[in-house]
Amino acid sequence: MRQPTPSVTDALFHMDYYRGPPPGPERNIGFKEWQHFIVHTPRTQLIVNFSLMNEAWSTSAREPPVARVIILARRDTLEGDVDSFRGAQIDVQPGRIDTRLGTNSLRFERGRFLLSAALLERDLSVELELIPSSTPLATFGRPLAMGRSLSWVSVPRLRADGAITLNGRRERVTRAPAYHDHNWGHFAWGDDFAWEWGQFLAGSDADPWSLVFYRMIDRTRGRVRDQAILLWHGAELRRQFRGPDLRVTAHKRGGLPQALKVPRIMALLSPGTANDVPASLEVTAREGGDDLTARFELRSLAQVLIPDETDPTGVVTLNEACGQMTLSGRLRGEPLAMEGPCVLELVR
Amino acid sequence: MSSNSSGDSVARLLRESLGVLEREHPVLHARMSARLTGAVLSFEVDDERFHVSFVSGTARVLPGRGASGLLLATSKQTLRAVLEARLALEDAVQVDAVRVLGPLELLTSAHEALRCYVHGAVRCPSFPALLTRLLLLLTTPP
Repeated sequence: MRQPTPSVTDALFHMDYYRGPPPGPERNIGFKEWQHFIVHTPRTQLIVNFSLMNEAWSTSAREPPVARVIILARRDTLEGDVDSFRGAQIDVQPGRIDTRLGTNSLRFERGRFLLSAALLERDLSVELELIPSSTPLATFGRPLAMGRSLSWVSVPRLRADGAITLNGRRERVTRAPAYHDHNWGHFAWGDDFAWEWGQFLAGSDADPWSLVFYRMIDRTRGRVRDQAILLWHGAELRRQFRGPDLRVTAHKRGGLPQALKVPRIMALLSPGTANDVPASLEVTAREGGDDLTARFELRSLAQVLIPDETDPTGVVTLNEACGQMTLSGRLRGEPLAMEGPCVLELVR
Repeated sequence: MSSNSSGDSVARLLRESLGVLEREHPVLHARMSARLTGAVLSFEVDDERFHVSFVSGTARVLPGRGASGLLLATSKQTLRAVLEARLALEDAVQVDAVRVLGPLELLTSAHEALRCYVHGAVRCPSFPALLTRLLLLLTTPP
């Protein structure tokens, strides 16, 4: 059985802890922080997100945060929901990774993430042990919008074991590739930003490849503020392309099946089936004799609908699309060709 | 008026929710009320009948059907399906699962007011508990 790497465990212990808002009640407003996990099994693509948000419309700076647990699972169909928690249901301490939101929990013990989560109104639950197999990467203060920034720690590859239960069918998870990140920053949903973010895992335990793509743009999507594609082999960050080295092309907008909208009540504020999420997104990168083409082919779409914090009758949409990605190109003269499961997140 | 064992009825929960909206999101409460000033909306949910009267920025929930205005009639089953996004509100109207009777202009205003109400509902900390009670009530057989 694979054991956690002590250096990775130590790095996570010192990097992946809950930040919380800085001291002073006036700094609470708009502070957001979340832990994100993605698991790809042969049958299921799973997203679990634990978040804490000090909502920007709070009338009182001392208003306690709202915690949310999002679980989305794509098997034959897409299922999921968002559960909210307040007050004593939330147990999160700055400086610690361990988190409890209602009966859901995330613990970090002996180099392993132990994730236990179940939706209140749906038959969807997970019990997972996730062992990091790559070194975490920390990125601080990347620009979101004027005066707004986001920081994150990402672990591009983990190995997941445990179980996922969906609609009465329990799937045993064995050595499934997984991804984790942890994000925090001060901003309001509805500020002048959007993002496109993708994640891909391919290969095997013996030949593991992981890719992360991100593009921070303004809300009109006319201006790119920051973009990058990062490629790991095992624990090593093998190559990164940034800024003008990238070109992004969307194909077949609106070509995906009807989206699952969560939480369900928000569908009243986002009726209809139209969306502009592409069924395919191609990212090409070229620099210094190396080139990559990453093509996200998407199969399903869930929309996490969030009240706009800058407009009392607005809605911000987190589009979570699952599918397959093909990666091809040439690095240091060596050809590269692989495919694997991916998740693409588009904030609109 | 039908209610469950805890004494909840649709009218009672609507009355409580309007108070919550006024306290926790006065901007959207004011926008909602402004769209329906002077109007009366009557509701029939299975055998429960009540109406809401909008006067001077205040919404009053009263028993029985209003003398005039807009009538909205539906079942608990349909209301639950709409809240759980199993049935779109527009589709419910098209198949007469929600019946609407009244002047078109008032219907338009009521729809805009409903959107303000829901936008407020998803922003008010006290609404999730009310929604839980409503969904429980809607599963109670008539």
